[in-house]
Amino acid sequence: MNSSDTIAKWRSRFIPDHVVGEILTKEWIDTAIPVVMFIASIIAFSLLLPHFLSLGGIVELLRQMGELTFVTMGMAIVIMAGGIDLSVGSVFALANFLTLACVNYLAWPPYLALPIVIAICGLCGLVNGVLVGYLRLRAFLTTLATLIIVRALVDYLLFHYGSKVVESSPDSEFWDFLSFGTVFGFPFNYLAAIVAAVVLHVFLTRMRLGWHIRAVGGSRRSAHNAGINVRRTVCLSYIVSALLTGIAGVLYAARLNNAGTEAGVGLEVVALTAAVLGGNSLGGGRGSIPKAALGAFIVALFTNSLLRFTLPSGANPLAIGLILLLAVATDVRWLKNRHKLLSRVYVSPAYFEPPPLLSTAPDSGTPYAVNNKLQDAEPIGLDQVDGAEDIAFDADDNLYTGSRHGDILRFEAPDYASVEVFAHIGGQPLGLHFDGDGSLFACVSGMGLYKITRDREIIRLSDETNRTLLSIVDDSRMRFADDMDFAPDGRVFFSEATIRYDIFDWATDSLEARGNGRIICWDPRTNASRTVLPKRMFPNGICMIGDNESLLFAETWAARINRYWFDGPHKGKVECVIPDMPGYPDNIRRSSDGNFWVAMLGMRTPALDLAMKMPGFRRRMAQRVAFEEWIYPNINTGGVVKFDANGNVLESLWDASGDKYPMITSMREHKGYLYLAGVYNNRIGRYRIPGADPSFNDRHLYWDKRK
Amino acid sequence: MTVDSLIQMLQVTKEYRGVPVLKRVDFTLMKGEVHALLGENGAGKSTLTKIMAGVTERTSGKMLMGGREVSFSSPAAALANGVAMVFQETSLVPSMSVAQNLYLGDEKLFNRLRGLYIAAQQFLQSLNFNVDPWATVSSLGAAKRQMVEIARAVRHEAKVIIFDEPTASLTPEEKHHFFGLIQRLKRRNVSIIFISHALEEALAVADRITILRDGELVATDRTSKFNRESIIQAMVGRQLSGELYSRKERKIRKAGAKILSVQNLSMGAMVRNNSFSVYRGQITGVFGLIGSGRTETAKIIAGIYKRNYFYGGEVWFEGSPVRYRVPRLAVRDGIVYVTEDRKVEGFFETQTIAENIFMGVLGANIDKSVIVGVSQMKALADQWIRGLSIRATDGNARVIELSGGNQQKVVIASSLVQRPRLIIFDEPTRGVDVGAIAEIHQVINELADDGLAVMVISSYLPEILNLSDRILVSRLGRIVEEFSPKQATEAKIMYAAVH
Amino acid sequence: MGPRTGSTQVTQEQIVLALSVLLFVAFSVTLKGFFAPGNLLALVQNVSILGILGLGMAIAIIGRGIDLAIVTTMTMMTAWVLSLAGHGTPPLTAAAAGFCLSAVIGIVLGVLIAYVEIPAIFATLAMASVIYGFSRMVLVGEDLVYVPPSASWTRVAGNAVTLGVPNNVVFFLSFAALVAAFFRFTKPGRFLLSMGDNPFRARIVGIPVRPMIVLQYVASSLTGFAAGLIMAMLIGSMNTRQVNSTMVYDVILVVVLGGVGLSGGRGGVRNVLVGTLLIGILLNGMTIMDVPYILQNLIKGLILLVAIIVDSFVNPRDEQTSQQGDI
Repeated sequence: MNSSDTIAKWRSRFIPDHVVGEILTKEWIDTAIPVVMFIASIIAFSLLLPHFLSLGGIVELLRQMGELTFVTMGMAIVIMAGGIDLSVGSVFALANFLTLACVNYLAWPPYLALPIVIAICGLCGLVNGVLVGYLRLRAFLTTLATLIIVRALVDYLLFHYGSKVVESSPDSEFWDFLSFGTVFGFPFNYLAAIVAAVVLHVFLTRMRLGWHIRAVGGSRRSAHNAGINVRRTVCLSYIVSALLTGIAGVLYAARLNNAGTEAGVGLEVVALTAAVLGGNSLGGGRGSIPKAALGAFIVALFTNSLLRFTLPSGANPLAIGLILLLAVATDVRWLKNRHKLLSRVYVSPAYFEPPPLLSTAPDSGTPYAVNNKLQDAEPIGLDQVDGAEDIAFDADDNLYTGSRHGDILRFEAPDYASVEVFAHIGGQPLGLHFDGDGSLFACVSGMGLYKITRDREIIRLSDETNRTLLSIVDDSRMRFADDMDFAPDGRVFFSEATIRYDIFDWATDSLEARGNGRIICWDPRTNASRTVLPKRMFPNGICMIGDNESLLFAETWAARINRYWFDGPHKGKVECVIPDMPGYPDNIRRSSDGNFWVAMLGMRTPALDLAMKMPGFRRRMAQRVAFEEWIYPNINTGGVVKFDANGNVLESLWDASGDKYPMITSMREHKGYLYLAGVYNNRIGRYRIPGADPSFNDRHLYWDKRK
Repeated sequence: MTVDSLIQMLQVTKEYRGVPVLKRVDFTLMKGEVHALLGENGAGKSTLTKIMAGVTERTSGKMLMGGREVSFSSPAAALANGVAMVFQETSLVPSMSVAQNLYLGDEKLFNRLRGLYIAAQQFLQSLNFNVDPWATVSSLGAAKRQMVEIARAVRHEAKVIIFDEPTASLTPEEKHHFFGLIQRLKRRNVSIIFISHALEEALAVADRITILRDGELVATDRTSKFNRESIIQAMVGRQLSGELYSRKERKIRKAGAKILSVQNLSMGAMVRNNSFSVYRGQITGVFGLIGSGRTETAKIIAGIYKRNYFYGGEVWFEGSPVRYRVPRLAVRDGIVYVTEDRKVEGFFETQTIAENIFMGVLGANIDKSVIVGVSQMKALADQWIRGLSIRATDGNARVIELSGGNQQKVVIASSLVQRPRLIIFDEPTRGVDVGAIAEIHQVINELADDGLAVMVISSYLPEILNLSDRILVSRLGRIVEEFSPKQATEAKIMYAAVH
Repeated sequence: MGPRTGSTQVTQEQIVLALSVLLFVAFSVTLKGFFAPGNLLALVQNVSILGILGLGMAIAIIGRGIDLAIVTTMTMMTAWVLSLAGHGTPPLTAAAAGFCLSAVIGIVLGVLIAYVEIPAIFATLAMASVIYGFSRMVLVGEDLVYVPPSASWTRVAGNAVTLGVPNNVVFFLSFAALVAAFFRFTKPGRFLLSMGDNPFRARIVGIPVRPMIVLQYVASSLTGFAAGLIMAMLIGSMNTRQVNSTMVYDVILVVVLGGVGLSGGRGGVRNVLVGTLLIGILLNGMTIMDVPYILQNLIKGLILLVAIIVDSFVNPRDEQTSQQGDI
């Protein structure tokens, strides 16, 4: 191995390129720029400002942030519903005045006054909501009008009662708690904002009304057509916004006890700034509560921190304006180019050193030497099968196979001439096995593990496994269940070939040469599934070895067959049985003489083997060349190999011409014949095995022993 | 009334601001039947079904469901009564995920996300629709959106499902799955209304066929009573298919000088290593399914999209390499693109015909003066209204008020005034009434006869076969095959476009 | 908006016009001194600044944007010009400098919106902050800047009367005529209208969309600057605290009230004039009635609300036809 190989090897081992592609597919990456802003600003201010990170400073800062966070969240909800609420500043001022009036002037107890004040604010929201939602007025203008009207009202009230409402202040612990209280040293009002943020986030992402709000913002007409009451939803969004603004106004009143006319002036602009800065798009469709809270934090941090520098007048607005422009500009560019980035990096090849390539030449003397024995296999279901990946036989010798259209087909014994659709599952059924009760178990790509009873009832056994800790993409779903076998106690071990691609892109997975697949165990006692062996290279065929504690599985792209102990003293151990197959192994099945058959779906080629050691080359290929012209595994020639449990290859069967059985994905020995399936072949083959046990049925190995 | 009729429409009329679009139509849908609804654009098919689905309300007439008179005020109400509709114009929320869209409208009060996504995946896969439920709808192509729409309607377990052009953007493979689904639905005794342009599909799938023309019922009967010719005759009202897409012997134009050469053009996932050439004095037809990269390629040539900055390939126009940042530069060089999406990028809807056509002149910067001549604008408009026989009172009519065909002619006119040397027509007759199709084809033919380089992109095979002097087939972002019209057949082209 | 803008429909412009006429008649009958030539001139004079700002805003809105920085530009640039002149720069040179800087502001705005693709509402909001901050820090020292003695002739010019019409009204009307001609008879004007109507089509048809957006904001900034100069000529000073007032909302009110669509492409100078007229009549009438300033705002808000509610009944929107993102 030369040095560039070593570098490539270590690079692909320690730099997880594929993670970049996965992160970019996540929705939360949308918030990347605000988060970076957030961290950068905290670092910058803590370096520039002495005592910035001191406890008192932070508490005071957070106290002020609480109110803005409430208002911004309200604004964000309206924006998410496709509107805009300019009236928040005035409603905030109204809440401030009313709180002071109720608590100070009328001397109502705060716990009574506050709900009333917030409810009155909600009423303002209702007015907006009725006008914009039900009467279908334009949000910008309508809320502009309510902004002016409510502001005029507040000014009027302040003009007449302004001095009276601040004359006294109540003697109430609750009131003091609102204004100066801390919970574990955390200012109460920011804590309240955080709690509200969590609740609202759950509400928007998981609750019915939250969905409706986001749907209406995303597309009004679609929401209407989906049966959502658009008008009510829009109306409610304004009410929520006004309620949140009301809470903010109450907190402001409690904190400052100030009946000045400046309360809430320009707040709509600040809240809008915060919401947009956090990444909520005006016009709806894109947004979230965390974004709003983040935006509010950044804006409040800047406005407050800049005040603490001794700057010439005008420097503050200048700095804020410039920073906001910079942040939004970055955000806009990031959003625009994220997808371009994604399309470049999702396919992420790794370094893989293939085993030595054994010759298959007819005169090579290896057990893999090509012959033409499969030419004689007689066809079953010629041009009737489409996507037969595996075959299984029931007790009456009827033949079952899957199809590309999600059906399980049944060919009637003994001549297999007539065919019917046994059941429709969906996806693409791959590995098939009968259990002792005559139910058919099927690995269905795209869906998971299914069982079809004798009465053709379809039962879903597994569609979800445990999520890997720290995985970026939720890997709990089943994307590509491939083959399975039963453990003696009824557990089912099945392989999922890759978690990064669908079955349509299965060949693309070969380019990555990374352990993207896994083996999962479904336990009938708990009816739950758990990943037992992650990170294998396209684990494909699975076959119990017969010792009740280990199984064989094929790693297709690594061209090897492994043995895995799921029970017993060696539990968890994996050992390579055949390290160097000349082709890509697929399903493994038992043979009548106590050995194993393995199908080869295609042959390795020197070019692809070389490319496996050159991840950079494959990445460039994936980026620059149309995908039909990539180097793929050769899947035009396949064969069947017999081997024993120690990995000794005993014989091989080929269709050298490649015109009948070019690709072999599975085979099953049944009553003296070897049946051959290939997912792209147009027939199932039936090959008489010379000297084989004519009563052999591999189901007996599993089920009849126990009876 | 027959026992097993599910929906009956009696003398239903619908008017939009006094203009009737549906005139006293009777329609009956039986239980468990597949009923094809056929007609030209504007015949009232969509309106009729939208009334059934509660999207619009009828002006007069009755709608009976199970013998009881009903009236749906919203799609939600229709759904509650078991009528679901798959809309032609997609009605998904683009900013939400596939799974959320699937469950939108009857989601639970609280939704556990992972369970939801996995259930969505199981459901989509059970229909053999290969759509990732995690994906955001805006990132999906037309075909996948269509599949999500279909899946959503099926999920509601409605008694009646209305499909409005469901197969328009599906590949043959996906169509196969779709028709399998229809058969399974039928077995479950679901009634299906199926609006389609593809008559062969209707004949193959439907039990009964109803044909509308100009808002009136023309024929309704069992499918076995119809054939392709009789359907077209009923749709158009006269024997027209012979004139329009006849395969009569026609002269094939010889290629002139090479005007455009594209090499290894690439743009993201949509266009990959695309190479081809276009010649003067002939029509180069490009056939491809939606999503095959043909529109994107055309838009890159016209400067509307930008190819990849690195390894994006080359475009040579009139012997020199070009890379347009904006369409303006392409227009000045004489490359004009006539859009497939008239409503979005075809015209200015607040402006008149004259203003729209004249904007082409202004955009091409033919007249360098800053001052706009209003009289010159009028004269130009009159000239083109006559030249393309645009049916409007005068140039002061708003484009938005015209029919599809006349709108398309205005779009073509505003492109032709830009003095193009290469003109690219993208789906020139989509949403155009049959009468206007022939006229637009004639215009295109005359342009080629005059020596212009013409490119016609279409996913309608007869149009490609009828117009082209060379046929290119696009698939997966590149031109994969070239045919001469003499050797080309529908089957050959389709095979190249799919495999 | 689609087919509803057809000729048989009553437009918002007509509603507002009708409302203005109604108010005008009502005030003429009920209010003493309303229907007097002097008062009517005062009426127009009071809203002429607002009207000019409205024209600038209309240019931005019609081109599918918005200029929330227009009041800040007006105030700060004018204050700078006055302050320059106060420190001995010849008034005309100072004005030229202000003109140039306003144009630069417009270019920066345009570049941010057209090339960086920041949403207009946000770019102009942030730029307003930048302009104010920069001016206060570098250009203008004090809150209130007076017209210096060296330029006292401008005060005369600003308050003079030409042919019986106050000069600032003349400015307003001629400016309106200029903008109207710009939209109707010049290429850039047509381009702006078209871009506002359909930016996708505008790009394809060959309109230089990005340079035109820059032009659009240069025009709106310069209009703001001109309004500021006229204002200074009229009242003799410029208060930089005006930046924090709600004046920009009044400007939007005037523009949108008359029927300029916020989604671009719809409306023109006539709509701005109608909107200005209504606000002028209203303010004037209320001043005569001696309505307190606070209540004036209330009434203004209610009138705006009534106008848009009436419009919503005349031109109903429904789920099938409404435009996405149309706020």
